[in-house]
Amino acid sequence: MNFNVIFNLMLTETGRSLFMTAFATIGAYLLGLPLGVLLSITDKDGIKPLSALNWLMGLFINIMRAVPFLILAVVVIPIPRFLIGTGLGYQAMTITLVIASFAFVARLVENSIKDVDKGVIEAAQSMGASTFQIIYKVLIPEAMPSLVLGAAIAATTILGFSAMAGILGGDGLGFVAITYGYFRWQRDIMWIAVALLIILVMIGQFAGNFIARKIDKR
Amino acid sequence: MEQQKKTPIIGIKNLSKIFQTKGGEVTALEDFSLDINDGDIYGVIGMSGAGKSTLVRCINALEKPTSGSVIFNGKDLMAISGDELNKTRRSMSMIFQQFNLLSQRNVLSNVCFPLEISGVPKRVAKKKALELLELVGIKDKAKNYPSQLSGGQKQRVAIARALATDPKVLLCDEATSALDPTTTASILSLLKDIHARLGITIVIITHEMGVIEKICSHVAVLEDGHIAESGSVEQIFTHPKSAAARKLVYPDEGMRNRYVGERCIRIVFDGSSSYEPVFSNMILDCNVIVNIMFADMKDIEGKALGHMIVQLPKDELQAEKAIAYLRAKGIPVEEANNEL
Repeated sequence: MNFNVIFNLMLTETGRSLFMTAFATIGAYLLGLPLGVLLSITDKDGIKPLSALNWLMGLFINIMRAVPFLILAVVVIPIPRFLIGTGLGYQAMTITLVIASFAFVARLVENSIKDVDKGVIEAAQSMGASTFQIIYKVLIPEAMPSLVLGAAIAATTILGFSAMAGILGGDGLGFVAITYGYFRWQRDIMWIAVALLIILVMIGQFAGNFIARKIDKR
Repeated sequence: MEQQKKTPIIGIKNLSKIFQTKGGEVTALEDFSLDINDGDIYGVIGMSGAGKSTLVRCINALEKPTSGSVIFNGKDLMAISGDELNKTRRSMSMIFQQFNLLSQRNVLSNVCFPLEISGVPKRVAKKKALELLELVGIKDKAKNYPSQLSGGQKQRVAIARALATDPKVLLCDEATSALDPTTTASILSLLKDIHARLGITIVIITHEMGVIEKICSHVAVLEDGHIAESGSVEQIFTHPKSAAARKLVYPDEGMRNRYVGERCIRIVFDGSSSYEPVFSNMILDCNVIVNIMFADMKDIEGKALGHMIVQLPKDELQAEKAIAYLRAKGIPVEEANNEL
């Protein structure tokens, strides 16, 4: 394989990895952020204690997180098949990644929200803020730096999942590494793909740290 | 007597709060009743663990009492909830020991916060917030973040924020306890100034007698979840009846008792005679020699309040004469002994 072929292969598959990671992270937050907020406010020390609901959500999240990613990915294949007509390829895998990671995201969000100073919440309550106002005007803005750090962890973890998904026909750098390195014994291609994955993780983590520090006014 | 006819702005009736903990039940407040009139600066003082924080949180229904009621401005706070409670809370603001400012918002936007949640348009809110920052004297810090401010400045922002919704009552929960004495004094004089300008009722929760002295008109002494004593600050300072109040008014009583010997009397100054040098006049007029054992005077709302322990001469006739002289001047005299 000449340089151009390898270059184009890497470019396409890096793009697909980024596509999967970006959209799966967004999707995981669309589900995980409300769930995490709900989880933290319904806690017995939260602003809306609802122990039965809290226990049920906790149980559900623990189950989702306990099932290994590859098994979960196989189990949920009917979902992308139903939604976009196929269980293969990077678009389908994006949906699988959302399902596999939103529970993890919910836990990250829950932790960030729980770190918000109780006194500030009390102050907002004393001013007559409603539960909803406390969520979007106090909890989320006050937790933002921590939420951004959490998002960096989530995105890099999802990138790792997307690489694993390569074995299930998911495209991306993981798929390249497995196909060329494992099935075709082309170790050099595999190492390039792995190096690119490492670089992506580092960029993601660095960007997360940088933004979190930049926006934190404490 | 006129005051007692007024309907109180805050009426607390038979309030009890029992916390369920792993170690069993803890009674924070027990059958607590208190009326606070419009325009008062009402102090609630007690040692830590006396139930002060629970009380202030029951007043604005942050904490649901186990039984009893809180009537605020004619409304039973225990009977309302949700939107109605939230609306009512806007006329009862609170400031805290730890200031509790939003750390990710700048000063101006912290003061705008309560207006924002009550649906005031942004431009109106901003104008009002700037006026309030001017009032508390930190308009120049409007664009700063709380982390860049000192404790006293943070509390000024918190006061401005608390005043944003034009509340009828300002609750202060140990608002100066995290501040040094100089800053405490400046925050207290700011509160006094605000009281004079806006006529707002202020409830001050504290463990420091100095705070009560400087600013309050009335005080309730809290001990083990109930009121040991309440009344005007003057009254409590000059004639503390309960053990809890005595401990606060005379913190060095134990030390003082060492000086109390034979023929000692306690003279109480209640502010009515501070311009006349009564004591010197007594010595001159009665021609007695007395020994001052202990004296503690305080300036409260411009009046000299305090007490003094003096030893009278051995001669009983002379001693009687001195006591009669003081009583004639309207100064309370009592025998001082070790059983105090």
